[in-house]
Amino acid sequence: MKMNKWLQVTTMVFLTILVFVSGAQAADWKPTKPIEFVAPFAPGGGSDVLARSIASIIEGEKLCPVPLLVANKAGGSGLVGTTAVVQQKGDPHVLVTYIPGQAQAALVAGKGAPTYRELTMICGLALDEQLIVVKTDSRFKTIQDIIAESKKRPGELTIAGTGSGQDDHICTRVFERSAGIKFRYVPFKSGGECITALLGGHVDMIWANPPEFVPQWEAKMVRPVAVAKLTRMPDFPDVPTLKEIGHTVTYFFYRGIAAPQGIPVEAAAFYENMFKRMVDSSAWKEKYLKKYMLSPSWMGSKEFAKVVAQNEEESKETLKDLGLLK
Amino acid sequence: MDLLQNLYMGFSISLTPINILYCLAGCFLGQIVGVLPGIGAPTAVALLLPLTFSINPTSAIIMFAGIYYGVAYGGTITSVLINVPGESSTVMTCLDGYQMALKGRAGAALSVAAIGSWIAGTIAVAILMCFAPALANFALRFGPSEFFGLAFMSFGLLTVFGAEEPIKTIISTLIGLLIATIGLDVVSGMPRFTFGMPQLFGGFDFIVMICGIFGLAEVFNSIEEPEEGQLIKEKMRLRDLFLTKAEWVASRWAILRGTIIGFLTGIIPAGGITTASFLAYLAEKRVSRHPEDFGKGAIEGVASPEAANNAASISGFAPLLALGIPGSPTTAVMLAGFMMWGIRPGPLLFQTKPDLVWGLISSKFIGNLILLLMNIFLIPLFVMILRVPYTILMCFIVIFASVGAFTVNNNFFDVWMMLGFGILGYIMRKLSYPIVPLVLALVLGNLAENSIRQALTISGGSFSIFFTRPISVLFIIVGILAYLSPVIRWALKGVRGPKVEVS
Amino acid sequence: MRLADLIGGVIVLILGVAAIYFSSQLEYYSEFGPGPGFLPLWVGICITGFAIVLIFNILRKHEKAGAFLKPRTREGFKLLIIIIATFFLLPHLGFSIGFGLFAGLTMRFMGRHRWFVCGLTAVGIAIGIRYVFGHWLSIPLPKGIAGW
Repeated sequence: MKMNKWLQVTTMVFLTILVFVSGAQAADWKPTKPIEFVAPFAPGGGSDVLARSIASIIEGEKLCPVPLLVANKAGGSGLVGTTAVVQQKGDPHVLVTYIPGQAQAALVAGKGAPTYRELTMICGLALDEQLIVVKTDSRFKTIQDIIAESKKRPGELTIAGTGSGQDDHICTRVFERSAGIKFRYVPFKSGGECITALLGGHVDMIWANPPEFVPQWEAKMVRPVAVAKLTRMPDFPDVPTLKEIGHTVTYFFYRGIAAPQGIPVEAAAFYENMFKRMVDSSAWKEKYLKKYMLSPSWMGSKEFAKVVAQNEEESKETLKDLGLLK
Repeated sequence: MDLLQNLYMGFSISLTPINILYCLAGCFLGQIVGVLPGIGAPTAVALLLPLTFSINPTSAIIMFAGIYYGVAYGGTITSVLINVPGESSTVMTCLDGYQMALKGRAGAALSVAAIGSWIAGTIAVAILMCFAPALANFALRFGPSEFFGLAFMSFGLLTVFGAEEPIKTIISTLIGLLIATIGLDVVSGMPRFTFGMPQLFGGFDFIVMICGIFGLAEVFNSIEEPEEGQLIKEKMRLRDLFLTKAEWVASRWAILRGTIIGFLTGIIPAGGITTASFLAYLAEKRVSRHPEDFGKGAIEGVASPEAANNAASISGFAPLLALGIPGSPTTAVMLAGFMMWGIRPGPLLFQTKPDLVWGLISSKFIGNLILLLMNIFLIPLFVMILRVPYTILMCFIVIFASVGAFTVNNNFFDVWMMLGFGILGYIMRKLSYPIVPLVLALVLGNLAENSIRQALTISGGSFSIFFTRPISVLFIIVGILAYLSPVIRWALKGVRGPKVEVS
Repeated sequence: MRLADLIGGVIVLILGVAAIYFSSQLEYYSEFGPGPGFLPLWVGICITGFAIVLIFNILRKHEKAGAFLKPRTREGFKLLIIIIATFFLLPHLGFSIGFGLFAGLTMRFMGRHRWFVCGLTAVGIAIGIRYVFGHWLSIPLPKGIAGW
């Protein structure tokens, strides 16, 4: 009797352990507490808008059992927020938005700056567009006018963009090299400051993403003259690509998601799957892509990591050319 | 009579019970957010954005506007009562507001701030209403060369602080400038003075710094000087809480001057509310007949910057509404909000969405009135805080400053930085290095450095850009006069003999 | 006081020299106008210059001033140590419990309030921080043990 009971207990314990272990192996990883979703830029910017749109779409579509809490950690061209995420190594409850500027700023900043190698790339979600925009009453009717004039007066036309050694600056340099021209690149702190400088006539042209200039474009105060893309944008069918006029300036301005290094493989897979389901939803298309005029571009974890690495490699060349990298 | 018609339409929208309610909610939230350092209007608006999808955009924007200017009222409270500015725009209020509180005039300081803000707000809305597009176009004339002129002039005005210890004032300013250069340089992208610490890439946030250098340093100093710690000794009567006639007479022109300066600074993109309050304070000290009282509890030193920050918070809407360009971090978030609701703010907004624009503008009259009443009625309650024993108050200040420093960027590193600035502020005060020039240099230093380099890039390295544009020339001339003013005053004194006080 | 002032002056001098040294490693002039090293270098030079004048002035003057350390400075140090200890513990305890404890202990050891009052305030602050920031403003403050 006694023996029997002992056996019973042992069997039960053993079975419980077995169920527990096998269950843990088979079951998917799920987040167990709210996810800290870091937007490494100030509220109102492109990364902040992306993070907040994602948080609200995921909540609306019930794609995640826990909420995503957006935390802005701005400063240092996104490096402060990226660093904070890198330091939470192995924590599967942290995500961060990732754009090429973060990789490029890390290259320029050098020692101590967080590179993409210290992060787990989850996925790429969309591509943002880079356009050259002038004032409506500008003497430049087309992009060819700009090229012609800057050939006549090299290094005198001014082009403004956000930051130094990042997307806008790199696009400028690639374009300059391809067309054999030279601009004066004027760095500003934000896209808002750029469009203000353009409207005030302080610079000749700017680089801008669609949400930064569309309100003024609708009021016929500014107009885009070219887009750095392989094909024309459906929203701006009359705006030529730089490729059409013979300059292969295409820029891959990805917007993606990353997590700290060393998170469980299952966690990375969970997030990748979650975002895949999100980009397939109609809410994503309506509330994000259409509203902010981005192109859909899903990239899985491996593909996105490859794209990020490739972009960094290409940026390195241009940054060396600009003298920002040795 | 388009204006009256539009205004009538606006009020018919903003006076609906539901919109009054949203306005009230916005003002109340703004007041609370204003009290908490670290959480500013941009964060609050960003947090609330997702909740607004289901409500009418006009109601949402009325609420957000309420937060935006409510913050300026709320930040005053902690500035006056515990010397911790709730917002960067209320730093200047600390200088005289806290001194007034030490003298038992906390109620008067809060009243004059509320009344001044209300007057400034109402005047500013009226001007905004009549001239928004013209004002926005004026704002566009400010390019990098004008920003440099503005910063140059502001540095000149800083000389008002150097009365007793001129060398220490200069050193304090220089250290502020040095701190401003820490982090990634905007123009070159290069890190400066970061010593390989990625946390320093962003530089020091202004809020983190003032939480330490004002709030925490104040705690250390008060422990040492216990007689300062207990703010209110005897029982206060109700009428002690409000302005006396003499105080009102002293502050009424200061309010008007603050309104004008604040309004003009606010429409300039990147001018901002904080700069507006600085300039108003400095100018007020300049024109005052008794500049020596500033920093020791002069009521004009509260009235003027408070009027200025509220006027600026309203005039900052001109570029947003008329051109769709964000002039400040908060308007940048609102711009994002507009897009989320599917509205494109911009030059067309006045035509395509007149109900939204005029509803918003008229709601500001209502919001300012709500805030005035709310503050006047709550003053006795706020002042009660000062009766709390200092050891308890002290704990609250430390917690406020720490949480505030943390929430700016959600980064714990900033909390340590705040402590560092607290110790720095404490030592500076003991060795009589003035703190304000350091704080101002931090704000103006970045503006000055970035704008001069941007301007020179535009001009291709030619300095003529600063002298061929009327606005920047004007600023530079005023600046030079300000730098030379000690010399000029000295020279005049020599000629005319000691100045006779005329009253 | 004079000694403290002098030490202060020397620290400012060191700061100035350090600023000159580190900014001389940055680019002084760029293609157009001043480079990243321009402003810090000149600021460093000015700090050094004024610090020398300041030190000279202090050495020349012989006026009497109050002592730098006051009888109650010790209390300030006590608070500083409590704050530093709290900051070290915060990431482990979480903001709400950490600051609750901080308030309770500070009140007890610096203000000599009754244990009961201290405990009540501590609990109140912990709940207040948790509720206002964690739930109401949904700001991700660091949480420590027990998810608080």
